[in-house]
Amino acid sequence: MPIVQFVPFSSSVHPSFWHELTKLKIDVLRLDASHVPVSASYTAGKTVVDRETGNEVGLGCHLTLGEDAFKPDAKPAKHAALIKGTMINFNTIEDFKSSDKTALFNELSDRLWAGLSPSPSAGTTAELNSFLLITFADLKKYKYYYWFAFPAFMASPPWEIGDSGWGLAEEALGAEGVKSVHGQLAELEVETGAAEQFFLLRPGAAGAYEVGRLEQWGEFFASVPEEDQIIGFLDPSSTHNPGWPLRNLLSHISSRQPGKPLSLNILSWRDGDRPTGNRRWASRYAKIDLRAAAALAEGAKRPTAVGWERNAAGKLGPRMADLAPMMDPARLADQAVDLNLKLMRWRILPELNLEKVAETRCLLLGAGTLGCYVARTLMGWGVRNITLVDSGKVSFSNPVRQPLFDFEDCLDGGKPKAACAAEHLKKIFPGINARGIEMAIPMPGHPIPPSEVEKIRTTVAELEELYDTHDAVFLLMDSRESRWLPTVLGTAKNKYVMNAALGFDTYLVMRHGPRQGTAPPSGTTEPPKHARLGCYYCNDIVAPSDSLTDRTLDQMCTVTRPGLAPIAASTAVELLVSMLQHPLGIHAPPSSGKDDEEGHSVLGAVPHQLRGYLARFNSMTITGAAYDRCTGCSEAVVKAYEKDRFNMVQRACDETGYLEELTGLKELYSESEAVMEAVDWDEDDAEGDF
Amino acid sequence: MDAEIPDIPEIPDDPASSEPHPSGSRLMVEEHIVYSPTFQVPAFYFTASDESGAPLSLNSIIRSPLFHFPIPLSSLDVQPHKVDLPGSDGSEDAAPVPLLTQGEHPTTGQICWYLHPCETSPAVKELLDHREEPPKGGWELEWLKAWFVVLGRVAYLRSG
Repeated sequence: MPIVQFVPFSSSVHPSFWHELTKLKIDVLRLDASHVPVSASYTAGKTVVDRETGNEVGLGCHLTLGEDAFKPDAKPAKHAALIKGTMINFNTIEDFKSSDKTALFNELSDRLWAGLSPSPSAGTTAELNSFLLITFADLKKYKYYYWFAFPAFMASPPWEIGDSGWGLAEEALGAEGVKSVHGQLAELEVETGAAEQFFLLRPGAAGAYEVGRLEQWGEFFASVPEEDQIIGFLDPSSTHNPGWPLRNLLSHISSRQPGKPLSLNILSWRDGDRPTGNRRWASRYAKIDLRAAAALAEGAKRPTAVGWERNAAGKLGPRMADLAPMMDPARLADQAVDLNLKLMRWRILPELNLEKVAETRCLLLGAGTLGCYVARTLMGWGVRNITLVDSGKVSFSNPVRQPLFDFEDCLDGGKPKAACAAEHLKKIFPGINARGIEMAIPMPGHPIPPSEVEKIRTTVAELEELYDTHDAVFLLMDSRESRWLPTVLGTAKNKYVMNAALGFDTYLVMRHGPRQGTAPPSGTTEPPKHARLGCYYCNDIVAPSDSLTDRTLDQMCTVTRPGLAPIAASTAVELLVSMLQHPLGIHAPPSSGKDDEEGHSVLGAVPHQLRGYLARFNSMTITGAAYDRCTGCSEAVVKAYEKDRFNMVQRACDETGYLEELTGLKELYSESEAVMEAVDWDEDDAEGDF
Repeated sequence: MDAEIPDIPEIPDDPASSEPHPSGSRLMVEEHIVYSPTFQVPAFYFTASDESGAPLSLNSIIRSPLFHFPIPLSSLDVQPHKVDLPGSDGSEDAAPVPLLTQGEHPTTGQICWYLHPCETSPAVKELLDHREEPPKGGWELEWLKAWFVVLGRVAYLRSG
C-alpha cells in the first residue's frame, strides 16, 4: 500500500504582522530575545477554477500570520482554526544566522511530544500542533528575515493508505451524513469561537452522524465498534494529499495504544461553507493503516521530528519580506505630497502642468523673511530643487519673522543663514534637494578692497555657475544695489528672474523681461506683440549706488509690517508658477487679470509687476517696458559683462559713473542739461497766467 | 540572505512529506469599497501582498487575475505609483486622470491602491439612463448595482 504523504504548511504572512512586530520590538521587546507567544490560523483547503484552462487549481496549504498574531485572546477568521506558536526575534543579523536552530527545534518538539503523548485528561488539542518562528527585523531598511518550522513526528513504519486512496466524503457518509457533520461543526464553532481542528464522528440516527470533541474520545467511542469510529480533521491542503496537521494527530492516536497496529477511518474536512451551485462537498474520506507501531528506539525521548520550511527557491533557508515600498516614511511623504498636488489637477484644473513646476530649479538670493516664505511656498508647489544664498548669520530677531529658523539657531553667534534654512527645509520634507551657500554678492557703489579681489572673483564665478544650474532666480535681498549683478546675470543667461522688494507697508513683486533679441521657442503661438518687459532698474535714470552706509538703524533693518513679507513672497511664487504654465514662458505678455484678457495662463493672469498697498488692502498690476539705457538689462551692459566678465563687474563696483557712461545715461544728463539751459527764463515777467 | 548561514539544521530523509504545493505565487488581497469624501462616490480600494507580506509592484498587480482591462495592457502607461490610460486625444501625453493610483484609505489611513473614481459617476449615470422603468428597490440600490457593473469592467469580481 502506498505511504501517506502529508503536504507541509506554507507560511503566509500578512503585511500587518510585520507592522505589529515592528511596534512590539520598538515598544516592548527592544533588545529582549526571549520567546514570544504568537498565534497563526488555517482554514480548509480551497480550490478555484482557472479562468483560462477551466481546471480546478488548489490554493496551497497555508498557515497564516495576521495582525492579531500577538494578541493572547485573538479570535480567528470564519471557519479558521488557531495554532499557537513561539517566536524569537533576534537583534542582529549575525545572531539570526548563527542561532542554534536545531536546539530550538528540538526544544519545541520535546514540548509538543510531552503534550501529545497519552494522558486520559490530555489538554486541549491546540497543543497537537505548534510552530517556531525566528525573525530578524532590519528597521532601517524595512526588511524582515524569517524562518518557520512546523514540527511533526515521523512514524516508523510510515502510515499507509489503501490503494483506492482518498474518496469523496459524500460517497462514504452519504449526503445527509455530510450535511449533519457540517451543521454540528458550525454550532461548535459558534460555541468555541474557532473551527475545530480535530473531531470525532459516530453513526447516528437516519443517516446522520454525531460529532464529538477529540478530548472526549473515551466516552464518545465507549460503545462504538472500532470500524464505525471516524476521526475528522480540518484539512488545509487543497490537493489530493492530506495536510500537515493530520500527521501529529495520527502520532497522538498511536501513542495511546503503543505497539498496536491500527486501521483508522479518517475524514479530511474541507467544507467551511456549504458548496454552492453544482459543486460537490470537497471533504474526503480514507482508511489509513499503521502496520505495527514500533516502540521508541532505545534512549530516544520521542520520534524524530521534521518540519523546517523551505524558502521560495526550495532550499533550506530563511525568507525575507521587503516592505520598504510600503513603510519607508520618506517614500510615503513623497507620495503624499505628490498626491496632494495632483488632487488640484484632477478636481479643478486638468490642464495644470505640475511636472513643469516641480522640475524648475530655484535659486533664492537671500534667506531672510522673503527667502524663507518663498522657499516654503515653492515646496508647497512640489518644487524639488531649492538653493539658498545668504551672507549672514541667524540673529535673535530673525526667528519670529523668518519661519525657517529656531531659537537654537541664534546661539553661539548664530548659524549661517543659508545652510540653516536648507537644513530646515529637509526636516520639513526629506525628499527636498536643498542647499545653502554662504556668499556675499558684490554691489555697485561698494568698491572691492584690493585684498578681497581674488575672493570676489571666485564668488562671481560661483554665482555664474549657480545661474547655469538653475532655471529661476528670486532676488530677495534687502537693498537696491545688491540686485544689480543678479539682474545682469539673469538677463545675460535669459533666466526667469523674480524680484520682490518691501517697503514699510508696500511691496513690489515683478518678473524681469527676457533678454533683448531672444524669442519664444518655435512651434508656440505667434510671437509676442508687446514691448519687451523691463527689469527692476528700467525706471531709473541713475545707476544703483551705495544706499547702505550712513543708514540709520531703522533704515538698515528694513522695518516692515510683518504680514507684508508672506504676502509678497507667496505672490512672487504664484506669479512664477503662472508664468511657467504659460506656453510662452518668459515671453508671456503682461496680463492684468481682466476677464477678457487673452494673455492668461491656465492659472490666470501673468502680470509684469504688482505693487501692493497693505494700508488699503489692495494691489495694482503695472506694465513697464524695458529701457534701452537701463543699467541692469540693456544690451550695452549685458554685452560688456559677457565680454569682460569679472573685470566689468569690478569696474561697476569701484568706479562711480562707469555704468552711466556705459549705458549712455551720461549723454542723457548732458542732453537734458542742455535743454534746461536753452530755456529762456524771463525773469522780468511778473504778471504771467498760472 | 547574501552570506551563508553558519547553522543550517539537518533534515532527515522523510518519504512522508509531499512536495509543498507548487501552484505558483499566492497573493493576499484586501478589497474595500469605501465612500470617498473627496470624490463623493464609492471607490474601490485594495492592497495586494505576496506570501512574505511584501507589497506587490503595480506592474504585477495589473497583470494579476485581479483585473481584466478591456484594453490591451501594452497600451497602458504603467509607472511605479500609477497607471495612466492613453490620452483621449491620441497624443503622447497620458490622460490627466490616472486609472489606478496610490492613496490613503479614507477610514483606516492605510496606504492602498485605488481605482480613480473620477470617471465613475458619468459611467454609472450612462447605465442608469438606459433604464426605462423605475426600479423596485429604490434608486440608491440601482446606482450601487450599476456601480458594480462599471467596476466589473476592470476588476474581476466573480467568486469561485
